[in-house]
Amino acid sequence: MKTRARSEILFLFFALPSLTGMLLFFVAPLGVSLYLAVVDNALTYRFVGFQNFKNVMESEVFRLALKNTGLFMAICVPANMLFPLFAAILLRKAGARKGLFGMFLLLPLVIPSGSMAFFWRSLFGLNGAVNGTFFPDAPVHWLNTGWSRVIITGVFIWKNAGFNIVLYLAGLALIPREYYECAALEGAGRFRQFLQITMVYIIPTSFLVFIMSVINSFKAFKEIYLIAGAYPHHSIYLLQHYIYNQFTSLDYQKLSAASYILMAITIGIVVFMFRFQRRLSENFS
Amino acid sequence: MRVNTALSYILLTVLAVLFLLPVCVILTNSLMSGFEISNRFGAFVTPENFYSSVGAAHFAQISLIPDSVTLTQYFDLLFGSAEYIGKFWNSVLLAAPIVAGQIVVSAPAAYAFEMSRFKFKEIIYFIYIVIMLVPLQVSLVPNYIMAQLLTINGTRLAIILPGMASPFGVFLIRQHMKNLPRDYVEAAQIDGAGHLRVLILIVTPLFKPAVAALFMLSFIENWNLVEQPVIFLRDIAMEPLSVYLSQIDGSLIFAASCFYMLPAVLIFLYGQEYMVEGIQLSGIK
Repeated sequence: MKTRARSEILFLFFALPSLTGMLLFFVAPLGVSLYLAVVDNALTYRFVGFQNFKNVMESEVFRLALKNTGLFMAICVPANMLFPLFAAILLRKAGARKGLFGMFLLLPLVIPSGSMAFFWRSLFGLNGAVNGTFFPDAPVHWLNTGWSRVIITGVFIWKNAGFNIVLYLAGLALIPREYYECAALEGAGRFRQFLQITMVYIIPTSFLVFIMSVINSFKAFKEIYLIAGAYPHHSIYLLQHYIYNQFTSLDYQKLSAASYILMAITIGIVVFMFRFQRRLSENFS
Repeated sequence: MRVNTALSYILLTVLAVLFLLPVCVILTNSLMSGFEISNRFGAFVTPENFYSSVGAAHFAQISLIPDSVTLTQYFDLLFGSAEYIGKFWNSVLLAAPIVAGQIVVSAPAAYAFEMSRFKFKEIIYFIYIVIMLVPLQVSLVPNYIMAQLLTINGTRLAIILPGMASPFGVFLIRQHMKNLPRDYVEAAQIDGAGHLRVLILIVTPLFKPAVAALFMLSFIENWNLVEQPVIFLRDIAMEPLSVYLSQIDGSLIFAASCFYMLPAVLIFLYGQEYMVEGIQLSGIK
């Protein structure tokens, strides 16, 4: 009993630096931030309830950012799931060369975004090589049109697909080979095997990949900021830009309210997905 | 079957080329002379030109192969001006303490979380997970508030301390520990080994892959810092190369980009398997 208590004290000691850091830099100031979100300003600190949230939600810029973030996720998350699944399936067929190809597909993950910014601009800018090659007579300002959404998605997938490829490779490795052999014996073709074995048994992995993709999709800010700056074309002005710009004007009330809204959305999606997955697996087992 | 394998090889090759080409272009263009760079990318010499429509007749001419191979870009980069080296050093001064600190803070905490029998540990751990899941821009708000209170705003500490306390390290190492056999630890305890000895002799060797994975993922993340420096460091002198690279487009840009990606690429080539393991562990189940 005594040793038990003593080891608990030791564990507390081990965890103390981490606990202190979390409390100091995340938990406590999140409380402060919640407080700042429900008072009127940093001088009088009068309680105003949800007024700040209402103000933020009613602002045009915030709505634009919210809409864009939603749209971006709607394009980016599925694309960043389908392509890695496809690549992972291909990689599994590559046999001995799997490691080499896998390395090539993973490499962009470690390339700092800053190293690529000039290249992407020289490709898609008004004076860029894409215009020079295909549209020399009527150059399009790709990053200043609705196309910027597509380009950013492409750049994002180029950089981040490796992460999901790794997750899918691990998921595919979990499907027992016997399933395929069995199906082949019973005369199922390649396509049917893919549809009825691969696609079914990859569902648990896909949930995981989905959640990670939603979380990772917020990293697109880096690329957008480095390629197009703090005020990009309005079609790629995301919630992260909105929060970033509130930092520059240091409006704590808007900043706190907006960050709580973004937090609620993210956690909402994750919790919903976990619930959904649980219900699904209950129904199937 | 054969056709299938051949087809997947062809597709993989296409993908690998697509993924590698941007990096290769940067690599080979870093061997061009400054003159050739301004010839090819003349339209991009200043950012203002990028948004103007006058220079539309001169498009960037991206080429994989330099007219003549020279190391002048690297020579100028390393000896021509102290600027790039200084910014590179700024990146090191941010990334190195964060990565080292995160490992030192996280490893004992993860051990404590896994081994402790404290009633509320899972509730505390849940807070870790929630904070890990929220988008970076959201967690920057509490970080900023605390930096103000501690009057470390504008210094590197404002980025380093929250980085060290980030919950991701604890999560990653604990995920790894969950897969470890408990018997080892219990056997050692029965033999009379104290917690510290168990930690040093038994757990640390088992930790190694997890720490290596954390090192890889944390380094890649923190070598690519963009949001934190632009929000916390108002002083240009402290700006890391990750941010600086996106603002310049002189004749050294490609050498500077290569120079900056070099540590990340080397670490990747050396510890790719640890990175893969880290990614697999970072999936929340």
